[in-house]
Amino acid sequence: MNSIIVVKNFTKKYGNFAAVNDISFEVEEGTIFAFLGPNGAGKSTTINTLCTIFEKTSGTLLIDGKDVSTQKSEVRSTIGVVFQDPTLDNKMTIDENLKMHCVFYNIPKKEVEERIQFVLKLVDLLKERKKMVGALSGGMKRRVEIARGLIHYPKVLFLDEPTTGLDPQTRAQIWEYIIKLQKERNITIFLTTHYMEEAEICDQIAIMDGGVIVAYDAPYALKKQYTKDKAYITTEKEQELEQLLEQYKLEYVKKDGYYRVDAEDINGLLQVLSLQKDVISDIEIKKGTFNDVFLEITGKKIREEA
Amino acid sequence: MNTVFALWKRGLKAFVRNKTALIFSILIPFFFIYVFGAIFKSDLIANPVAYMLSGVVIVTVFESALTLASSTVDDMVGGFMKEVLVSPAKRVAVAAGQILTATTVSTAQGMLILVIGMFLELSLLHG
Repeated sequence: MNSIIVVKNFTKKYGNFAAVNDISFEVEEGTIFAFLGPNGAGKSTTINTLCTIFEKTSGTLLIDGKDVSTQKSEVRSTIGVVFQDPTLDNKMTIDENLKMHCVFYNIPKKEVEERIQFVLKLVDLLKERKKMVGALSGGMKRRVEIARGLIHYPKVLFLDEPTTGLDPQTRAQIWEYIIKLQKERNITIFLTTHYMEEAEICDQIAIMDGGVIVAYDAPYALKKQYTKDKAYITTEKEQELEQLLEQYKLEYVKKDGYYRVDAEDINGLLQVLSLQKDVISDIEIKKGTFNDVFLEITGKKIREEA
Repeated sequence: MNTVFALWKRGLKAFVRNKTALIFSILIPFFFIYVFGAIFKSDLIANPVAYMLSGVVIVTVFESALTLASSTVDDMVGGFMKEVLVSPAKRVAVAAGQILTATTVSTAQGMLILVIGMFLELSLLHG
């Protein structure tokens, strides 16, 4: 597999403040890459620089072998972008928006109709094509934007929080399109999201915080590394339970009414507990989630500054 | 070149589709002519339209050119400009398209007032 996006020692400074500080990563062709991080971590700065909107301060950024700062025009025709905020022209119909896009990307006139049909069919909007964009719902607008981002057959599709503010149905739908695209057309997808369960679908994940990449791996590997399964136990014989846990050196936290045991090996814990079944009145086991990974890595404090 | 033409067409379409703005931009110059015509009428100047017309035409052309040019700001606020900026379209072509739209609309409006104003003047002279 060859890397379609290569970022080496990328730094972006605003005055003295480094929004992105010396990050490096690679994205392989045909994969889904997720970029996570709290607000203000530098995700959007990175995406905007990759999309040729911002200038880098230093470093090398290549998309499909082309330099983002010196071969802007080539890079721009290679990528498709769906921004966080809608960028459609509300005063025009879906059709006109897509046609406009075709003009910008120099798509041959005789192919335009065919391509519009193809992308609109992909997002199920073929019937609505004569509608004004301003009259569409948020979810439909998003779908139009995804369709528009694909019409020039980009090699890399950037999605900046594609599902934020959408209902669960639309989110599921949009993910369906994204996965379909990746499989059928072998498009590389680079996205940012706040929904951790969505990040799990991706092939590779980079978590950013404070301008640097703090974790960079496949989702299951991160989960394995950063989460622990938790058991919540309620009991009437508190002393006996505490004794049992201490005997097997299991750490526990006592909270009002229940004991929380963090265990790396849930089977081992269950075996220990099964020795004295009568001690336990109720037990609930929670698997580690990706949310835990995220909080574990980036900390739980909400940042004041964006 | 295609970009310029496409943006020009878009600008004109948007202008025509915004019915309220369209009607007002046509009516206001005539309102000016009517009101100021009535105010400036005196024993010395029987027909002030002849003096005012040039001024009204210039004000109208300026006004509509300014409004249309500021639609670029709307595009930035609305997000559409971002889509333009990540596309391979030439920046010069984008600017040219916007300027051409403003030019076309304001020229057409100026001409319209000029022509109708001349008719007004003529009818007044003969009356």
